Amino acid sequence: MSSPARDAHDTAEAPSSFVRRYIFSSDHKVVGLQYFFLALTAVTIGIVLSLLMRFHLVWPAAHLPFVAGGIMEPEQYLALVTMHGTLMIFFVLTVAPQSAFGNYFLPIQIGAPDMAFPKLNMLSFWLTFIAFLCMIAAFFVRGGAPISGWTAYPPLSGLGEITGPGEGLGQTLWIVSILIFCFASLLGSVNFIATIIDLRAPGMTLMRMPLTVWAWLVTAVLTLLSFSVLLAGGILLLLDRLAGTSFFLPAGLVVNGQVQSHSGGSPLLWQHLFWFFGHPEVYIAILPGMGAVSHILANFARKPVFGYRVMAATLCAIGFLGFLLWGHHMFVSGMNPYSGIAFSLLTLSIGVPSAVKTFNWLGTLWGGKIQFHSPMLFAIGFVSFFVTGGLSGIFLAQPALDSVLHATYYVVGHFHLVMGVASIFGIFAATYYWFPKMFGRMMNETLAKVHFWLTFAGAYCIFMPMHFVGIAGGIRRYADWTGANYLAALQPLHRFMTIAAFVTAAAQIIFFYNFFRSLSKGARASVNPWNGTTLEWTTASPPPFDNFNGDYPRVYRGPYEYSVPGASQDFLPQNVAPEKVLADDEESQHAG
Amino acid sequence: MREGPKLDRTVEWQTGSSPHSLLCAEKLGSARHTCRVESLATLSKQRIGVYPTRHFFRRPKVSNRRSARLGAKMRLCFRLAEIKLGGTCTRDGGRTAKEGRVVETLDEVYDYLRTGRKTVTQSSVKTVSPLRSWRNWQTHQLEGLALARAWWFESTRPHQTYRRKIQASIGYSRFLSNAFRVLYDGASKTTMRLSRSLSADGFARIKSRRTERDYRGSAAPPALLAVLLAVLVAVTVYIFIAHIYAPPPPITSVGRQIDRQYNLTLYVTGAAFVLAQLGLGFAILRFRDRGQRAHFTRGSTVAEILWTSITIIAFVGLGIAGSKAWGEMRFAPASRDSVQIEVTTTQFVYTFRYPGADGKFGRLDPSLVNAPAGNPLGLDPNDAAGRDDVVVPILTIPVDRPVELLLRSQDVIHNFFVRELRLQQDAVPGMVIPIHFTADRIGRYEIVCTQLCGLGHYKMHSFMDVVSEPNYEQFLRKQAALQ
Repeated sequence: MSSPARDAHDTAEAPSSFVRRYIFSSDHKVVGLQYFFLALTAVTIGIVLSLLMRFHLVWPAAHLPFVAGGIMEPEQYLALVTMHGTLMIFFVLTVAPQSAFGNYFLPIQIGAPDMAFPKLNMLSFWLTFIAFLCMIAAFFVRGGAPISGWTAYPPLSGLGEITGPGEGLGQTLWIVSILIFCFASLLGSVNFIATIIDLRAPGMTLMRMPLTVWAWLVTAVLTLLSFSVLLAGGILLLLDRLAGTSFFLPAGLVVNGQVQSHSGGSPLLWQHLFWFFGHPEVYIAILPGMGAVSHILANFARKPVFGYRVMAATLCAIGFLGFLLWGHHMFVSGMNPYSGIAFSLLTLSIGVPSAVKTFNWLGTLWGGKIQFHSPMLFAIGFVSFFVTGGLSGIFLAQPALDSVLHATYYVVGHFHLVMGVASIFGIFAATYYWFPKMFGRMMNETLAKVHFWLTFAGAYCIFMPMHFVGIAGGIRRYADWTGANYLAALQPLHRFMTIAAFVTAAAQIIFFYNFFRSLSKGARASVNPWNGTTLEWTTASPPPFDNFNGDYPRVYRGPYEYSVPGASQDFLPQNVAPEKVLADDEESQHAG
Repeated sequence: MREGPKLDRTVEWQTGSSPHSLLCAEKLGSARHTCRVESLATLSKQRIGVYPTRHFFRRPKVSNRRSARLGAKMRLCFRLAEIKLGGTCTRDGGRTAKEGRVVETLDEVYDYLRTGRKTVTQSSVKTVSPLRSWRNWQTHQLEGLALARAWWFESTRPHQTYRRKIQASIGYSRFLSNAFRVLYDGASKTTMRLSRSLSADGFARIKSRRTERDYRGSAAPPALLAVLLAVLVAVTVYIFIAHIYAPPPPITSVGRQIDRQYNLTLYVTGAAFVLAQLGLGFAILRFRDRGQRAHFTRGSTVAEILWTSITIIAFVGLGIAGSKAWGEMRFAPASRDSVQIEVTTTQFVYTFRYPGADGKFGRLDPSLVNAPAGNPLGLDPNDAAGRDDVVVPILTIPVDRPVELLLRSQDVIHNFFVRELRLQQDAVPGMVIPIHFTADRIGRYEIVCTQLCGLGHYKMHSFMDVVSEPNYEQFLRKQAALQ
């Protein structure tokens, strides 16, 4: 099998200059790590923003660090809301599971030397990095960061500074950053799809691919189809702001006493375009986590994934249905109420493959020999959060109930659990699981466990009460509780959540300490520390430049052959050839 | 712990219950075994009814030529092994006692494949003493050793029976001596560990053993996790049952219908939540690593179909049940005699307009909007229909009469939300969105904006006064006089 990537790797050694090797590198592993550290930076900023918000909600009069003027103004609060959401969703939940781990492990798991288009891969990362800088820059321009939320609904986001501080240059930078990000993601997804289709090792049939690869494949397709829509929508919004067009701006707008000259646009059009992207984006964030969790559960339960084909099929089903239910974000937006029923039933029907996945995870655990290493704990945590967050979604999927719960803290609790925490737990599980492979060293297990307990309990303490606040009618995106009279009654719950948030955030320091300490001080990792079966566990830790040292694997069996009866070892790696065993037999017979 | 039937290794060996034994048998040229393997291969090729739905006995997918050449027999062996061993491994003190049903003849194999394990004759289950079994195994081990090595051959018999013997012999008759022995063993182990830990070498060894034990899995993580999950379930269920956080009671019949739907959804999802979380907790506790072998299975079509259909029925059923309230709230137009009031939202105020005595709203002109001058909506003074329009910042509606609100927005998207109405609706610039309801309880209710509309979003609120009919008339008269 010949491909440009493999030829390049066969002829070329790893580049020797520092810059070509670690900065402008086209090696998928370096790009993956770059994405990973970008996500780590973004998540740190995102956590700090959320802590500032949580603190402000409970002690609004307190002086805060990082806040201009010390005491937070409502527009600063909304800027934090916007930037927390944007950074977390785009630069953490999209980047870490797909771009970081996908880039690093996809080629290795399918037995390829690199991505199909290594240079394009490098370009994707550096575009994403520019998008990140552009996004951060929005903090430092006049008016500060945008206040329109990560959804940026026009007309609030489409008219410039007149609608509020942050809606000037800050919002423009935000849109530009998102556009660059979209473009980078499109390049990345094309690369993923091409790699999975073309560069699989001999014998690696589709039904022998690890579920992580399935998840990355489906996610890449989702990225390709949804980010292109956001790219188009974003360009239109930018034109509305800068070129005086009226795609999303209707006639007769009077903002701040000034009549606007736009006419003929529709604010709902943006919502349709945005959520056509925005809903698949939820699955872009969670599907790789599902893949990794299936992978890890099988590994540490020492059992094949229960219903492998069903798991692959449900990934595809979720991906497909994910495109058909964007309207459930718009039940009360003024959309035709009849379409609400269609979107509602479609939304509930995506609960079916999701529930089936959960059952299959439980089936994988059932009868296993479960080893509780830190990746496994986080994977189990993922299942728990996914169940809780998924079930609270059943309420929001019904338009009648959504007309009570919409835009309350219930929604915040729901999507943080199912999309935020569950995905982050997927990322943590993947990090603890693959750290030995990525860096050749083990992370400290005790610290990892402490990190898990605090984060698991803490995340529930933060986000479960949010559901109750929302049920009682607490509205999201409020800078304080002085607006409506009944909101003040919910203050004790908010205080509890804020304290939980600080404890949980403090627990992340343990993770960072463990991570960076283990980079140099961790015990040396063996080739296969978890007794895994997939191809990444057959090569050195960390893998050589071309992943397999020129000895590209051939695949003989499915990815999760654990505890196969008859075999004395409880795992059969994908690349151990049956005929090799036969040859050994013959030799020994002759010898005998 | 349930004891599986004891297995006669001899029979197992000869009839090939494990892949290596079959292969070895074949290699050794035993006519009988070869015959068996070949007949099975033929059996498989001829498709004589041996493709039951059991997933693990499906016709192998031949993915490439090499595996076709090499694999036919081997796959067959593997599959045969799976039939025999896959389903009914029982755990036996941490080791696996493999299934004791042994397939003796080709007919039996055929029966077995076609009908599952039930029809396999019981007479073929043979019980021998563990010692005898171990000897059998040993005997045949010599025969197969050379070949077995490459297959990571492992005995399924417990080689070390020391511990078991001690346990078995603890009875009243030897209680004291055994108790002493157990204590003595423990004490000497502790002393040994202490003395070892004095040397650095010994310390490292203990440390490595501790990590090894970690890998074996202490019971603490699953137990703690299961407890956490149980606490989560208990607290959540308690808060829901005790109704600690709930919106005030609804004031419309649709609102009450929504609450019923909410409760129905809560019961269904609540049951799923409790079962799933507790099931997860149970699974991790029950199946933690205790040195057992994992139960090998690739899945179950029956289970998949079962839980897929259950979730489809539950979820889609909920959706259909819930669409009723939605339809009543949004599909049906407002009745003709309903009170029409226009709601205009701007950053960050609500303005309510009543059509006045003529029942008609006057024309609005955006260029005339001037809130400081008292014309926040831009009423056209030249339009006669608008002269008697009443414009107020607080909504007043009559009780028990249908009300239709026409939602507009001047600048950005806002929202109209009253908890007691169980009703939220965005007000979108460029659109007039009607909503209707009949409030049946007098009182003052808060209107809040739930759609992010700018820096004053959190301050944007107003009130809805539901008043009696005479009070409503009085309100209209008073406002008309003021305009």
